[in-house]
Amino acid sequence: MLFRYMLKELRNGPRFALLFILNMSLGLLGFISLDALKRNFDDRLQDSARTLLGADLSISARRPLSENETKIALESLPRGTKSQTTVSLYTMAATGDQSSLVELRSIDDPYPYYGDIILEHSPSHRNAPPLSTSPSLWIAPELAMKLSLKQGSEVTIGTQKFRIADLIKEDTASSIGAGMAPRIYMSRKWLESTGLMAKGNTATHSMLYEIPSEASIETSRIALKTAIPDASIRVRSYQESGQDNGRMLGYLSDYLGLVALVAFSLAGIGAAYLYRDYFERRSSSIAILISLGLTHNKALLLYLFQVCFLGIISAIISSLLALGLIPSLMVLLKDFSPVSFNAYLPWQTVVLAIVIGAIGSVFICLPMLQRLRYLKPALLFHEQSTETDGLKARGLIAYIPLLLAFYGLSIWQAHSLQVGSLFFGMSVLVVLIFAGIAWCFLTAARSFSRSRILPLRLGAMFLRAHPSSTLSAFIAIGLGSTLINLIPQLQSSLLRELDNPAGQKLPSFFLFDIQEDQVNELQQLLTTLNSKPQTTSPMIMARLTRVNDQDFSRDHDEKSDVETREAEREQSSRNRGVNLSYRSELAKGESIDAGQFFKGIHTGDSPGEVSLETNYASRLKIKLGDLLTFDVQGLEVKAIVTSLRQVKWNTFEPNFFIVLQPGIIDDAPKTFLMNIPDLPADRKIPTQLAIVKAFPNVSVIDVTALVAKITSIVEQMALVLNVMAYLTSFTGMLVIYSIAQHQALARRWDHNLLKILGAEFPVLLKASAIEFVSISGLASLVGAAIGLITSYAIAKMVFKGVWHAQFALPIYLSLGLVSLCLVTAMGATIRILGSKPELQIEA
Amino acid sequence: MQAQHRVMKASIAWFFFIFAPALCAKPVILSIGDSLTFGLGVPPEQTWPQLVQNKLQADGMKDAKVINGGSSGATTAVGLSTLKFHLKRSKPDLIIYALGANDGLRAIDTATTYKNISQAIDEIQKAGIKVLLFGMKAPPNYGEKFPKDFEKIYSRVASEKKIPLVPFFLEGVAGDPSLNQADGIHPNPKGYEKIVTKIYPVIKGQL
Amino acid sequence: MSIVSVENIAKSFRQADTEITVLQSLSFAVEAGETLAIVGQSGSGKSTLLSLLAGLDQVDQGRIVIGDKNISSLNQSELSRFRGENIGIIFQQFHLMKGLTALENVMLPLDIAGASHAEEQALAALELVGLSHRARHLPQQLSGGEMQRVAIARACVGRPRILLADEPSGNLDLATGTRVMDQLFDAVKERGMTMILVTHDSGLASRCHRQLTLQTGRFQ
Repeated sequence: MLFRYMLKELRNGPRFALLFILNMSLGLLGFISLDALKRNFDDRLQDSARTLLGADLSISARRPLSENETKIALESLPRGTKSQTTVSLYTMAATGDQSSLVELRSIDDPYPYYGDIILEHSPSHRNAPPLSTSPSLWIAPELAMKLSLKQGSEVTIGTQKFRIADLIKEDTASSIGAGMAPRIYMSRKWLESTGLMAKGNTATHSMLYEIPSEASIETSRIALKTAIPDASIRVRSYQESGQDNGRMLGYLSDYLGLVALVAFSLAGIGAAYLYRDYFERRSSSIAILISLGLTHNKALLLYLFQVCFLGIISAIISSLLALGLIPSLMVLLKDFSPVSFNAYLPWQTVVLAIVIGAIGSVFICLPMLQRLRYLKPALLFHEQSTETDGLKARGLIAYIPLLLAFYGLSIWQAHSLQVGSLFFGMSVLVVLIFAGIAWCFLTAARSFSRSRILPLRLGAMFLRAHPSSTLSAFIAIGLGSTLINLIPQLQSSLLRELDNPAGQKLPSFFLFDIQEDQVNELQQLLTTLNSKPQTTSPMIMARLTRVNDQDFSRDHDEKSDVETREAEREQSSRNRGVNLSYRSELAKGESIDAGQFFKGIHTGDSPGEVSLETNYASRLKIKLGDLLTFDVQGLEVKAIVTSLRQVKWNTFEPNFFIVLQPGIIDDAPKTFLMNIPDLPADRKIPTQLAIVKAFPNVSVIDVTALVAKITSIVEQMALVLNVMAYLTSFTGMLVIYSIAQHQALARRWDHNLLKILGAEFPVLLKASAIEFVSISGLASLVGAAIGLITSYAIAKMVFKGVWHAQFALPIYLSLGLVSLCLVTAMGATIRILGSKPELQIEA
Repeated sequence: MQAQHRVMKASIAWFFFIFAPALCAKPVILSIGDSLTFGLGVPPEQTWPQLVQNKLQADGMKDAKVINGGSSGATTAVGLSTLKFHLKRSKPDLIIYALGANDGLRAIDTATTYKNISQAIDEIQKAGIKVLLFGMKAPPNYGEKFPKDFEKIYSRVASEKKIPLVPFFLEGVAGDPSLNQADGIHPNPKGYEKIVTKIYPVIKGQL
Repeated sequence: MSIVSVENIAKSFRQADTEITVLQSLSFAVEAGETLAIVGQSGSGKSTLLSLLAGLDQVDQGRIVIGDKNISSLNQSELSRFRGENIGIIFQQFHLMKGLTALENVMLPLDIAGASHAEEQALAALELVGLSHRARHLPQQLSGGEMQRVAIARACVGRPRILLADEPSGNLDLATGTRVMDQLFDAVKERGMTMILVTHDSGLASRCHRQLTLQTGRFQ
């Protein structure tokens, strides 16, 4: 019956229960939506990554894999693993007297294990007649246009004639990057007959594996790598293929994780405030139960049960709300993957919400509840004086579970110890700052107690008469204001970061290997084709030989073990050379992180200046002021690092990590890169053919698909950012409303007494307004300022982005918060003052 | 009269004996090429130009220098501008022209490749500098016609310009996994050592 | 034989920087079945003494023995259990649970103790105070006198050995108070309980077997 009583108690105080549940539900809604999104993404991303590789695992080499190698590889994998072979190579496809370079992929019939090749005349290649039936090909449309081919045309590959079976419409197994030549598919059955596999060929031989669904991919990958120690054989899992997508999603979900944490924190603040007040009112009930024989610990358990119950109800409600919200979010993000998302709420997410709702509620309310253990039921007695005892130390210990849980949650949501710790540390610091300011505020209120203006005097009296309530409200509103301001500031910074710079057009083609004496001619040709390059950049190959006169070609880290495959790769990457460029200005989308960009053109023999991209510099452990020595065609070139640059990842400009000051190597042998934007689909292939015909050495890569995909992802990321930011703001506003409402109602006794003593309605209303405007105004403004500062710190330290503050926003938000508090408080006060005064109000 | 003739012959012989080494005392060789010359994936001291330089110095040409004018990804189109860059700065004793592999891999029209190589050789000969041409082959997976046409470029240029030719400087190395990196195209240090044992006598013979 | 034995107890409280001694060197005993009134002016320490007897607070010095148990040596859990089994308390302000009916309020001590047939026993207790017909009513629907009678029923329902009453008629008018006190004394007699009553009402005090006057923490 005691448990039933706990529930009855809630029913009898519906306002508290409703507001508590509403607060927690909104906070949990952010969590649930995000978690469900992530699970949906993970599922779909796994599928998407699998389609890129076409398999779970693969091994590949620039030579045929021996029977022994394929046997050992298969034996190292789980029982039931399927395998197939593909051979890829560049070759010439010829028809009549025309020929073209193509990327030939020879496949077995079940290819691929995941993904599809969608053909012009068949929705899936699996429905089309297999290529092994007769010497036939599926070809990319660019090749068809170049060589004037269509279905049924004949084409020669090596010494074998083939018929074009169909044209490829969409190849989900194609790499997200564009290749050097159009792709064609052939059955492996006909490869030998082409005569292309003579000794010295540059074909890549691969084995693709489909692992049983219950087996672990990572374990299988490690087993495969161990079974095949030969460094010339590359072992890959689909997880590595999907890494670019995964990185972008990781970036988005970490940010959203913080947003959800903020929303949940806001809800927690509101819940804590409400519960504090509710609990104080329950003190006498608890004292009665203890006086009737209930132990303190059992009383604590009962109230924990009550809080848990509220948390679980909140979780269930937020799950139901999420069921409505998630499909809308999925619609926003449906283009993120080739495979569309299902709008479902995973059961794991619901369980997680219930656990967080129940446990989160308990932790949030524990600091109040712990006071129960030291409650003196003697207060029930008439004339019993209350002892002011040192509860503070014991009280602080009760905050530890909450702090630990919040810390753990911050790290979990941010997926980073650094970011999570930063967020946690800043939150704690902000609370302490508000506590300090609130204390000063109360002290200042004393000076108004002697004011001649009655409403002012009364307002100050209200504040001072309930110091702990005033402090709680101040801290809660201030924290709420901080968080409400933080998210839109971060959002605005991130959105600006995602936006393309003004005037930026999305590229259709990248052209490279343009000779210096071809630049003008090529530009003229493009003009006749109604195209204009967006940028033309020089590129010079060089070797970075020394950094501060220390040899760079060898890794000087003593720990590196050149026996391992990875160390060998790392060593090799140091000897790949670097691409240098030179220019006198920053490119669009670049900004200086440290130092200064070049001053003028270099002259004389002293070392010139060089600018490095920030992350590249930190990867190579190079910093401002370092002296770099390059070998350019045998010529030694020295330059001092005078600036570090940040490059926006979505500018689609050729990104040079190393840019030299003009005048140092301008006459070195170089090639040029061009970026051609805005080509309509029907002009792309003719433009490409015209360029290659006039300048056979120039390579043309079509990046339209890649650019469109990235742009679409960016747009959707922005939408999701907005949705989550609005959710947070709404939660914050609700929290502020709850606090204002409760605070006003807590003044009932004061107002009634003053009414009985003769105070007039307008005076009391003004006093109430002064009380609420002063608390909410100061708390909101301080919160806005702290929110602005915090967003700066997070933008700089965590997202490594530029900070784009909206200074008007804090002012609007503060005005909004104050208005909300005032309207809410006035509404509650008018209701109280309009009813009959009752001094015998039960707690 | 016979005695005077004999003395003259001996003097001339002595002259050349004393002064002949001085004529090639500091040979400077410029190698123009692509990633195979640049040494993609190997440290600078293990590239073939450096190995050749080491051998020349070990052979008594203490001041011999081989300039590495290799550039990863370079095609024959960049040969001329590379030449002009170097010739502005110095006049080497020998230029080794080793471009074309990327033309082959990208299946660039053979007429273009031929034209580029010819122009570069003309430029070198105009400057009065010896040239040694390193030939390349396109991989057999590029079919029958293209590799044949491609290979013929070098012999044609060598014959027309009357210059020495190493028909395929990756001979004995290409296609051997133990002598190449994982990509199967670029030699590893052992591979470059083997290349140098083959090309060094030819290079030295030009000096 | 004494059922309550108070031996040389003292109690002080801390208020800001001041220590206030409320009780000093207090000793007395109560026989089983006896009704004792503790009278005194406001601030004399009557309620403090009652809270110590109820085990709701701890003495600074001395000991309190109820039955054969030295309650001063019990920990909080033991005290709560002891109190539930042996002591019933009646407050001046009734302190009924707003959300529970009269019957549910009376059942509370039995539910806490985990007793069986709680409803029957509670109904019997309400019958004892003449309120069984108001069993399903909430405290807000009862008058002051009725509320105090429910509180008496709640205090008696577990058949405690000791009943502690803090100004039981303090919030009632004279007529109602008299009626309610009649029912209280009847219930005490019927169930053979020992009662310690704190009051400033001399009339009520005189109804008890014995009176003790508390003044500035000591008995006169």
